[in-house]
Amino acid sequence: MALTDLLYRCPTCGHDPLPGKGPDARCPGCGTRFAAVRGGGVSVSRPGQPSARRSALELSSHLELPFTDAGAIPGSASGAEVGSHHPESSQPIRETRAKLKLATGQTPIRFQGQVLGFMEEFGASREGLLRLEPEALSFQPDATRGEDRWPLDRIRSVQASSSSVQITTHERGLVSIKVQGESIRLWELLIHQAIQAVWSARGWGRIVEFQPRIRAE
Amino acid sequence: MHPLYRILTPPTRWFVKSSARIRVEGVAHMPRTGGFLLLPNHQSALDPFVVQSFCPRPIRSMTKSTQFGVPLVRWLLPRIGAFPVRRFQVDAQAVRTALRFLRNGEGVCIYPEGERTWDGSIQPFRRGTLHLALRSGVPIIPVGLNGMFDLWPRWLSTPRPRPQVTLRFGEPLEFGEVRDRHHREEMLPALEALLTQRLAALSGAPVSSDLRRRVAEAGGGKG
Repeated sequence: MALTDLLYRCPTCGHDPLPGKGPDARCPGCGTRFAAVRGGGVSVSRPGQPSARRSALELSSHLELPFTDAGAIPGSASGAEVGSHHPESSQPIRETRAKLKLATGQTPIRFQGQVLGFMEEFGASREGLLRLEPEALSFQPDATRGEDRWPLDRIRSVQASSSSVQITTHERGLVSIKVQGESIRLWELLIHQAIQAVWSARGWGRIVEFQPRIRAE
Repeated sequence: MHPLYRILTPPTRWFVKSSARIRVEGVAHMPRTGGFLLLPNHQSALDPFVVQSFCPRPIRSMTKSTQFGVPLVRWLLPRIGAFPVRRFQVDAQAVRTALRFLRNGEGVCIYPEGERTWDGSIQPFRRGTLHLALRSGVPIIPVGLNGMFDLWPRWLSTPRPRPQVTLRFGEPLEFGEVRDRHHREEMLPALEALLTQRLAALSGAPVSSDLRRRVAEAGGGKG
């Protein structure tokens, strides 16, 4: 994890992405430097100005997703008839390299003769290209020609877990995705936003919870 | 509780004290007997070490199931009171296990936000946790953690040296056992508003805009 997982774009000028490593980042657009400092804060140094200490909450509240209004996602079905064809709907909202694992089953955790609960077992990790499209999340593995594709209206939950984004789908169960070189937080929020756009278009309402299952008001 | 819990508590306390300047308050609010539910805000991956080692009574901690993936950890976690929850689905088994411990007179710790905060603020609570709290009938102890976000925010790969950390146990909230699901649904906004107020006061952490909005929309912020 790194500061850029929190600050996925520059809070000062909006440059996307904000490159950085570990506790430091520097915007190639406006030259502002960011460094994690004690107290859970971030030091912000704009060129030619003294550095100022800002809180993580304050900085992250200035971040905007690429599409601030879910209905503004290109190719989203907002305002159109449900099920109608959108020529631009295969245009990705964003894409990145990723490692992906599919859950293959669940194992009971037993202790002192009782079942405490269950944990999931995962298959082998695959590398490839992850694409978020207005109507689906897809993954093209490097090693094979086939593509995994999850329609957004079939996704049941979304959550960030450590350095992964996890989704569950009706058909395939749990999918764990580790995005490479991009912010986990950004991807979680983008997927939320894209699913909300689909739900709005279907007339399913405003989503109030993405885990343990997606639930609207 | 397994003997390993008792054996590992002193070295864990030592580890916490060497990582942070820790102050513990409100221990007198802890029930001396019977089941209870601890609901702390979640700021850091080290929160469970702090809460568990400084809680005056042994506790069981609801822990995300992926933590059980490593064989040694899977062996250790149940012995130090952890039980798994699959956060990506409504996990009936985790609820059953928690209720079993509570009805057996034990303490259970659940982080009601369901995950660590990204920015230090208190996030919206998982409805399942609030349902469980109302269904259990045991005293609900809000626990405020302050300074853990300074120690190790979620977005850094290593902790920072020795911040001031405060662990505050709050006064118990008593709702009694609410068996009827519809009745629980009606009571959720009041519990959510009260828990928000208490956790904010105990931890000193800001309340996220999402949680503020939810409380306001439900009309639970009055009084």
